[in-house]
Amino acid sequence: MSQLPGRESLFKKWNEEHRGILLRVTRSFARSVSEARDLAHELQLQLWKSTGSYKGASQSSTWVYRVCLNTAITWHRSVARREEKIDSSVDLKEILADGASPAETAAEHEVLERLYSCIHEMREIDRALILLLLDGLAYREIAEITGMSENQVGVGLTRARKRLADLMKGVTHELE
Amino acid sequence: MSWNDWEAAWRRQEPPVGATADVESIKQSFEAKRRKFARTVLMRNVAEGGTGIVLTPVMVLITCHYGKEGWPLAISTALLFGVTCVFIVDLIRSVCRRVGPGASMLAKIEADIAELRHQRSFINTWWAWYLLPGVAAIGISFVTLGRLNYGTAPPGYLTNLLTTPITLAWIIVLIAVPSYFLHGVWRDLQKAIKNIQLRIDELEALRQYLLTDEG
Repeated sequence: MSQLPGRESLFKKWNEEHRGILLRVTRSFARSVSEARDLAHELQLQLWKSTGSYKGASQSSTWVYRVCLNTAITWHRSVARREEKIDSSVDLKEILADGASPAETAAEHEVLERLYSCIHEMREIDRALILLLLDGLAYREIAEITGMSENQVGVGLTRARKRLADLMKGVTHELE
Repeated sequence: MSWNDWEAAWRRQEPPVGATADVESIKQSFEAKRRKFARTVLMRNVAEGGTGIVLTPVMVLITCHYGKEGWPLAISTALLFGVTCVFIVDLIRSVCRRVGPGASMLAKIEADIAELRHQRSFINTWWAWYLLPGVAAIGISFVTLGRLNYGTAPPGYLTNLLTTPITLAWIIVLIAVPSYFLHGVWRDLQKAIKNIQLRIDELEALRQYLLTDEG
């Protein structure tokens, strides 16, 4: 196994190579700009913390996905518990505008807004699975990240995809 | 609009230019959090195990001072030391069983469930490993020290003492005050168990959802 770089350079490398993962996980779990900033900060902290235990046994992307999804799910549960009695509606326009890149066209921006709005309606596990699928990961990689068998990944993805398609239909009808 | 369109839009998302992390501020923030967490853990450990660690040598000295006559004090010392050991062993167990940040989602959820279940049973049985030995240790110490120091009291002294109104008032206060505090502790523990159960249920549902084979 090749020698791993120091914590600082590893953290910088992950941030350059995988900042897309951090962005998509943040957008999928946060419901407002302030929540997005809070979660993004928490993801960075956990990623920094994890540099100490990374031994290079798994691919860096698998590691980053695991750290980010575990953190996001824990963060989401604690936020949900804290805000059980507060009706906090999802402010996707702001979240997407806050992190929008110049490469996103207006049409793509609209599709993304719809997608995220539907993803926010899904359960945490389905969010994670859909995110990994949309990122183009193979079943084997998703199984490695989630700890499920490939068969369970297949079943879970079918269920999550169907749920997303149903939700997208609803959103499209609403917009029409 | 098809899945491919969603996928294409999804993959074209790029973080805004210059949105890289500031390593120094992350390190500072992490260190501040780590220090705060370490302080909290230290305070908890001192509060939970510290009393036993301080009291045990004192009890050993008292036991030695009274020699063979004070043998029941050794039982009190052992009970106190036992309670301290329970805290220490549990602390070590909790550190050893902690999963790393890069564990799979399922492993993380299962570890969280196991830890919460352990905490629930730990709280449920606190009377057996904390309250009972503690009360027994205090009781044995009081009786033994009383016997050793006042064992030569004239006949009828204790009967007279126990039947005076002021002694009775003291006995009532000594029973009522700890009972009041114990009731408060019991209510807090019930609340904690309820919260833990809610979290276990949430995690169980997540775990079940991850593992289900039905479409």
